[in-house]
Amino acid sequence: MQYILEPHGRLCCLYQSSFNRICNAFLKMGIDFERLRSIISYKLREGNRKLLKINQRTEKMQVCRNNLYKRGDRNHTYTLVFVLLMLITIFCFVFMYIGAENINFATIFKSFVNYDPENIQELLIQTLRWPRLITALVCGVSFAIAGALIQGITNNPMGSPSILGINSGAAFGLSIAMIIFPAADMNVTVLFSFAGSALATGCVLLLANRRENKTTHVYLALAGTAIGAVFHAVTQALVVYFDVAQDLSYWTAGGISGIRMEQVKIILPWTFLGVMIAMGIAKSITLLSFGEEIAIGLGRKVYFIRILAGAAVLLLSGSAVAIAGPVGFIGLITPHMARKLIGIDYQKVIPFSAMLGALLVVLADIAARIIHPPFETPLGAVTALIGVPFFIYLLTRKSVAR
Amino acid sequence: MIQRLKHNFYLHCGALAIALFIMFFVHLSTGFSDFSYMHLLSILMGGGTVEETLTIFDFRMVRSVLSIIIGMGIALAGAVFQTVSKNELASPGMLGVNAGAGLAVILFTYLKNPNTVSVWELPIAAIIGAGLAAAIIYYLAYCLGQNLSTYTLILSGISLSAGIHALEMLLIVRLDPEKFHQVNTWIIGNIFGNSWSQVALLFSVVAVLSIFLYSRHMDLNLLTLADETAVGLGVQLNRSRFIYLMVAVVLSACCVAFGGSISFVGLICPHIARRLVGVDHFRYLPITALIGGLLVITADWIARIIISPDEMLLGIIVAMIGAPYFLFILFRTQR
Repeated sequence: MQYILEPHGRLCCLYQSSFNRICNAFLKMGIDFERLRSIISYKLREGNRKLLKINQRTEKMQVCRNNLYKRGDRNHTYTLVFVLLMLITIFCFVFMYIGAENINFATIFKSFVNYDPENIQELLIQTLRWPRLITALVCGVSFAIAGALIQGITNNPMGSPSILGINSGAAFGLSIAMIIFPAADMNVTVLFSFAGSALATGCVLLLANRRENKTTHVYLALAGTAIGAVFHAVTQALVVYFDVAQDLSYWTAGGISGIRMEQVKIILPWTFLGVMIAMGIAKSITLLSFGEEIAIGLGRKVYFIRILAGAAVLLLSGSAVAIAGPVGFIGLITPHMARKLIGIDYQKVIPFSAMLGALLVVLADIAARIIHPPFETPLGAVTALIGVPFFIYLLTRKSVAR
Repeated sequence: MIQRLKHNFYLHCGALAIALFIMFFVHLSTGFSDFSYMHLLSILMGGGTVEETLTIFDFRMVRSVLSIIIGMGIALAGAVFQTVSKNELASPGMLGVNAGAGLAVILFTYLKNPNTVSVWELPIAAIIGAGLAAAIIYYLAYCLGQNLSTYTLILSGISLSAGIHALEMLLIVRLDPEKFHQVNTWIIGNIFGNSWSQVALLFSVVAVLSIFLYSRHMDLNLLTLADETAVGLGVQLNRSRFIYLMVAVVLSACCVAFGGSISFVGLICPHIARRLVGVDHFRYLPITALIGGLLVITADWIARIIISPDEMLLGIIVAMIGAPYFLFILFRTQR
């Protein structure tokens, strides 16, 4: 009989054969499992109560084995990557094709090879749909990675950018920017959106950490809603008082319909930086998602990783929110899907979430155009309509409720 | 400690009642044409011209009384919901009442010409919407959690509200500017009632429910204990939770129908009351109600004078007073 840690930091016992298989799985991920075990047994001697909670339920062991062993299959991963990339490509073409006017593929192709600004359809592709497609992809990637990072570092299945108050914070920052610099360009706006998001997120995390021993998944959501309400209220007041309500509602409801290529170019470096940081700390995030003690025991600087992850979250979701308006639920859903598909190694979860996020936003934006044809439906509304049933499904799982 | 709180209770009750009374007069005297307080008194005694009597009794007093009742109702609903969910960050908005009422109002405005709407139709639509949304959320929480878990209640409330807001957005983009303005005013929050019959309806609902709540203050006290302890002391958890949640829903649905979504009142008033007199519901409920009434009538008064002759929206003023105070409380208790 051997002891092993579950992803949530509890212990469960395993038979020798299963233990060996898990050992191998850990070795594949580059984790020294012998050292991990020695730490655990040390803690056991210390009589650490939290680690002594030995969980013998076989279903949990099943979950643990499935996550670590079966789903780490390499061929499986490559097939999934291939399928996802194919889907994204197909829907990108559909994205370019569908709209107020359907444009055939020959014209789309010609507009890239041999661009003729006189042709209305080619002009449409190059100035409207192409930037819009890029924005959709970038937003999907940003929100999804941000969501995965938050869920990883807080070990909370309901973590997502919108729950941390990013949206309301960004709206606050934007309204301030609109009031102080009415003619500001995109650079300033993005900076203010970052600042606003950082402020709101800081408040939510401070509030959620306030009750160290009672922190539940629910408390984070509640803190997020409360702080969100506060920022929302202040934004409303500012916006009505200084009469920029219309500009802000344009941002709120506009979605990604009127994006220009210059705007996309401004946020791309931020997104790139964020993705790089996220991939750089992915391995440490995996360890953190097993529980803080293990990550510290294996020599990770937890605070450093948290700060880096927080910075990446702000870079990604702050820039995406600034350009696309409040698009919720992408960051919540995609990491769950990714974990279902390929297990809990964040070096895979992060790229998979990114692909799924891109796919979802592209799909949602196509839906936004075809729901009510001559008009655009706000992108945030469509993603919320997808996200709410998923959220309720999440609630039905026991681990989330408490 | 308890002695001190008891002492404080009567002191605070008296002070708040006096403050409410003063604000009532101030609120009555300000408006499009200001009256001096002496003149106002003589009008109230019956010594004014017909026009003045009409202005005071049929326009202003309706609004003053309504704002006090709305404030009390929403504050009480918030207090009950925070007690039942054992969480000081819960607010009546999380029961889906605001979102549901908002959707109903938008749908109603979208389908009907606002100029032909009678005074009763909009509030009734709002109440129906609020009730439906609350019922769905309650049903979800009950089904998902086997027995009524407040965690699932709050979470399904938050998520369903988000979904309803998404539907609202779908509709809002199709409204023409005039209707949009009307709906936006409702969503941010403003006092809408303008007849004594509405006041009578709201008053009777709020009065009956508050008396009911106050008569059951020991039950509410028991609900703040741990689940096991409460059951051990003879509380039927699911049944009493259901009853008090329904009371909170009805209270806030009625108030929201006449006052728009000013749910911030329900979030902060219980906080203030707890800081003043502690958590015993015998003292806590009346103080919450008084603070709620005072907050809303003060906010309504400020909304009138701050950019006169125009009117600011009530919801914004409530938020401007409430938000900084809320943050202040939250971060102060951190130490």
